[in-house]
Amino acid sequence: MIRNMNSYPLYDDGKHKVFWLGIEESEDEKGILTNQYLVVDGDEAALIEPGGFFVFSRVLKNVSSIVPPTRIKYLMYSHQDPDVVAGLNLWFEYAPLAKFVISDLWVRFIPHMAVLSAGRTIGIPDKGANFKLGNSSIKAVPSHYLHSPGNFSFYDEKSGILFSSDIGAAAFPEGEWYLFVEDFNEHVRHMEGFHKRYMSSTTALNAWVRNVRKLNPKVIAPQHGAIFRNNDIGKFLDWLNSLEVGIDVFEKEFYGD
Amino acid sequence: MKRKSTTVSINTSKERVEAALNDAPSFITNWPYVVRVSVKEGLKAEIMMPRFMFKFRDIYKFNHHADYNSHIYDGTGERGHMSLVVTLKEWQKNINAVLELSYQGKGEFWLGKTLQNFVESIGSVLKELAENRPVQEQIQSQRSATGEIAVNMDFSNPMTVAEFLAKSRMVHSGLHIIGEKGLFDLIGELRATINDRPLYISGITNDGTSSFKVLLDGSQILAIEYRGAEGMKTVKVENDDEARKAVDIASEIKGTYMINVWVPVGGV
Repeated sequence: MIRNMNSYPLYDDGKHKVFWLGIEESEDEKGILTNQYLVVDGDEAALIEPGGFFVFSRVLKNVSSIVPPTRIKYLMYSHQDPDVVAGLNLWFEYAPLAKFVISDLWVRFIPHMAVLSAGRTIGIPDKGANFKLGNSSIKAVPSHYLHSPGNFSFYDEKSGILFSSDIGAAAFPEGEWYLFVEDFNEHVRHMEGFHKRYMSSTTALNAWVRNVRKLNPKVIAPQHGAIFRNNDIGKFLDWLNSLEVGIDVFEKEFYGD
Repeated sequence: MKRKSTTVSINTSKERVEAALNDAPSFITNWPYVVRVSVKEGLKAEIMMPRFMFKFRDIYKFNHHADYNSHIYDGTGERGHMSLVVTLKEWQKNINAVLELSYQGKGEFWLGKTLQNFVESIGSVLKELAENRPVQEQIQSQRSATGEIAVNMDFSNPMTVAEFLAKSRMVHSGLHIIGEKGLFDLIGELRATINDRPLYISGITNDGTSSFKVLLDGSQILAIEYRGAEGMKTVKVENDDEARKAVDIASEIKGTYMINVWVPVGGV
């Protein structure tokens, strides 16, 4: 069982910092471990993909060792899956000054987490938005239907890191884990099944790739699996472009002729 | 060869420290700057230090050996050789672990302070893993340790809260209406189903404008924090005066709160 309780710095220019916040596997995750990230600029912080219930204490501890949770300005959720949002009611309390940032589509569902968050929730419009953090900016990049109908990636402009939600997710084989992709061809084997089944639309995937190429990120950091850097970013985007996913693959199998 | 050492005092039994040390894959995965682990063909770990003056990065194949009071983790990499020796000494109720890290290879002459930080971080990891073993491995001696963590918790320091929660689990979550001076009734209700002495209750209103945290030992308030329209009030109880203040603050809390209740692990 993989359990790394440490954070790891992904970017640090003295004023602007980005951290990966550790990892732990539950028995039921079957290798799909979740990543959480913290972006700090001056006195303000944004927690990207805060995560579900059982990772909460580890994430809180790692965040607290970097900044007081009261400095968290945004809790940024790419979509509404339990592994992303299930800890929301805890963060509501432990980051009392933070705003929840999530697709407009999902705002109406937040009360089902036992949280009436009017005034603390920012619904992201479908076309995306920019969020100011200290002297930097985090851009919500449309990633709809990949896989959720209201889905965003988050691009930290200063570090050049794109937090890509489930796009780039990988399932590690038992007894293996790595933070950075080193052997892209080997890594593809851990991504392929997930993308074909979980991503809904090839059209959406191609649109996302087109948009991301314009951003030209230095790092792509998914919510599951390993982080892409350097030449692997191009390989990853090319691979996504070559992929057929979702209903385009499974229509016949699921619905017949 | 460069050698650096450190000593950590671990507040748990020797068996629990041994359990952490014997689980070499888990122990090494938690060393700082480990970015890859594989147990497919023996234990391999890649260590990559960020922002170093030269690229300190290597994949080590580790062997773990143990005798009656020491553990050796011998790592052979492509550019260097790293060895950690952990020796355990029992001292009163605590365990002292002496860690000595040696490194021979690329850049060893530049690595003095870095290696010292590295071995100190490994010491912290060992302490953390040993004092915070998974719930199924909990034994009775844990209770005094978690009790102490509870006593040390200070709401004005978020790190102490995070430390406590990292070693706790949530046993209740739900919406509750707290009437005039009704927090004590709520505590009574919770006590009817939760037997643990240390109990941490936190609550927040749905609009987020009021919140509280209270730490209890039995029925005694150890610490309380209340954030309301008039600002923040925090008391860590260490004498009768503060105990009275804590009760006064508790009496002010009313309204509809989302409540979370935590107990130290092994306590339920």
